[in-house]
Amino acid sequence: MIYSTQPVKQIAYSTDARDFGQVAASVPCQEACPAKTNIPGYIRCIHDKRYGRAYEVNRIANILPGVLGRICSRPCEEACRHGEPGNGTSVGICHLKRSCADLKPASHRIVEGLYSPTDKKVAVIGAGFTAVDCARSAIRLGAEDVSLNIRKTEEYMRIDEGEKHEAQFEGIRTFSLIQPFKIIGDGKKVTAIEFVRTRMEKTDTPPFRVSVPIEGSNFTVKVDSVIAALGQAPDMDSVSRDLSGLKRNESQATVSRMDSVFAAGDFVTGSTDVISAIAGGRACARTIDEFLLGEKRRQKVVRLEDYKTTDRPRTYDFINRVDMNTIEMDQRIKKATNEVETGYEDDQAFEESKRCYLCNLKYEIDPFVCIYCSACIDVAPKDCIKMIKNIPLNPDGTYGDFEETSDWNQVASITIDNASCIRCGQCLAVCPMDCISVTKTELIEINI
Amino acid sequence: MPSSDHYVIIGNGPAGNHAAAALRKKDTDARITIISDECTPYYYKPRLTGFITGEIDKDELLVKALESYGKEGIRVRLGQAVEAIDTDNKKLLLKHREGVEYSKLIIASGSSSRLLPSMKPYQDALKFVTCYDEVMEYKDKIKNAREFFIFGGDFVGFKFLRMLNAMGKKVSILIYPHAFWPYNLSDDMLDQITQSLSSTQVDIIVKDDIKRIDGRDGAYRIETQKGVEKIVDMVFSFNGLTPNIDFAKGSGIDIDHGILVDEYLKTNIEDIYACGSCAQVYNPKVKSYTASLGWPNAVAQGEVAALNLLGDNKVVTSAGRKYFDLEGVKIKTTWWKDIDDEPQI
Repeated sequence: MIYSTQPVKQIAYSTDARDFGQVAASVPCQEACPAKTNIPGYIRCIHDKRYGRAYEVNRIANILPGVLGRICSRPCEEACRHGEPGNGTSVGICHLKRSCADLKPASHRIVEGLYSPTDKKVAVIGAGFTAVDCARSAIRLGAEDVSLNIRKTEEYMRIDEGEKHEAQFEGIRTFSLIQPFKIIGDGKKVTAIEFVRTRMEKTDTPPFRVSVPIEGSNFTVKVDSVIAALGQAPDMDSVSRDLSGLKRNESQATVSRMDSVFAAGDFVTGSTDVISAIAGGRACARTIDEFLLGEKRRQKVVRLEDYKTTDRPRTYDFINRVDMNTIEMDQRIKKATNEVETGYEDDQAFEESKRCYLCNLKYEIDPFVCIYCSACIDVAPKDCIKMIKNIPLNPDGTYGDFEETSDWNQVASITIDNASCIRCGQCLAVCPMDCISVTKTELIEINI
Repeated sequence: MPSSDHYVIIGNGPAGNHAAAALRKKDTDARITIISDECTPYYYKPRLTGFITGEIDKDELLVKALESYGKEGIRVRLGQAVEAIDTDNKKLLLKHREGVEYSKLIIASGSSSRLLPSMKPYQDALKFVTCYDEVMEYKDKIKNAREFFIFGGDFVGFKFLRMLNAMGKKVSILIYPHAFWPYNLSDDMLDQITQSLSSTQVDIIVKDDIKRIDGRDGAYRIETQKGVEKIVDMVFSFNGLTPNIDFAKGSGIDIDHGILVDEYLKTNIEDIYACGSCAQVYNPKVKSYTASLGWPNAVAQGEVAALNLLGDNKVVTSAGRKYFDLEGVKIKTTWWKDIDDEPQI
């Protein structure tokens, strides 16, 4: 018989709106993910070298971790607290997701076929991931001069900095503030494209800046191929007129007016990213299950687990982001299907996993034990522990702005703002009253 | 009543200094502050090559001594980098976490050497000639080094190459036709440049690219795609300039290659102006944005930005040379097409 020296962990399952609100507000990566992937959870598994488990944690929210680890639009990285001013750069979440698939036993790879452009000078119209994919594929298929042509400025391109860098690295030039006016041909093939220049102007709706054409600024560029990558919209009427009026139900699934017809993916949202399509598919599946069974089987809860410490030294906060490994330039264009990014090695994935703040750990000060010594405030590297007189609670369970005070007569408690906390554990180490608790919070589904 | 205005200028080059002088002339009361991330007072950048060879000393490099700012009532903050602009609260956030409030702002942050994306893996091996601090790091090393490798070309690059040649150094250059972005040098242009340099001892490599740079024991082994191998003491990169505008990203100011301004040098945000080589100026004649390089353009734009900030409505015009002569080849000083004709030999 094996006896464990570890105490039994206390676990609770909560449906309290405040716990959902707490998770939403203080685990920004998971909240930003349309599929609500448990990102700190799988990064910790990578840190513990449990790649199979890390893959499975991903699979709970999305069925394509290996694919998403390559092509995800990475809303999580934009939200990552490690990328906030003064905190360095965001954690390489997408690269880590890929390493779950790459480093687990029996990994899968998908190779897609590509269409060839007709000749050497290729103009791609569009500013998103698809446009950049087209441009980079054209280079691999022998195009000599490939350009991305965008209406606004590079700042508004819907791609991340890494993708932008790789495109530049491969010699793709971006021409901004222009929009196509006319494609010119000689009756047999494309010979040129006529652009009109644009300038930025204010608008009242997001993103508050639009590009407007400058009259009379037309100019022509000789090209052999034009690839339009301008996004797509669903043609609902071609499927059925009854499909108009799609709406979302409480499970975030899209239902139609027709009995037993559901919808998901780009058909509902217009062109968007894969992870949003996966989230839509999952919501749909859940609603179909309920529709067929006539009862609800699954319920969302917040799993709360007593946790003693982060196991994460402060030195981890100063590790630089690990760059993705890539193949040499000559290898990139030798064969169109050569994958540019080769994935993290085992030790690189381990190193990058250390950078995650583990925002799914909730820090709390027990106001009935706290002696208001302020030692935790003194050691906190961020402005995350606050003397407050009140915290308003929002209807969705999140907290509003902390009402801070420096007047001791008004201090109701010293409180940790989990939305600013970087989980360094310094406060925990210094507290003389041991009144700071750590709870691991996970958004999960359980059977009712 | 004394003015409570605080005019802040980011950048201590010709555009920033001429803007400050014009502001002081018209408004004797306002607070004027110049912020620069360089630690050296206003100096003449085109003379840096002469400074390296020792033809001129530091005093001759300086345009304006620190003391004279005090006399003009202009505060200069040197060695302080701006990290972000909070346009809602009219505040600059400096890298050392200090906030500086402004009532009106002129961005004249200039530009620095462009690191080609394809050269990024080798950036630790590369040296640039952009500013005084960089030059001071390796000035003595240049004197002692014997063999050099230059990537790219551009105007400063060829000036530097001629300088090394005159110093009796052994130089190899791998010319990148796109060093003059967006113009790609044609084969004819490349031939002419090669011919012009043939009288020198320079080893010219064209139509090739970098394969590897290995740094070892203070020397660098360079290997090109076509198998040329060189072992040199120092490696330089000259591939044009890129505007210093990172701090303005995400502030709401429209940015393309540079900061976008209208013909009055106004940005899309009220009370913020930009001038000099960090700006991309709308040119109503060609119905496009153009960027201007060179000292005379920076001076002219600095003055126009200052006058318009004070309520004037001056339209900026191009000053100085429109073309540079590069080993006999005429290259335009703007980076947009369609300003004039394509450059011709």
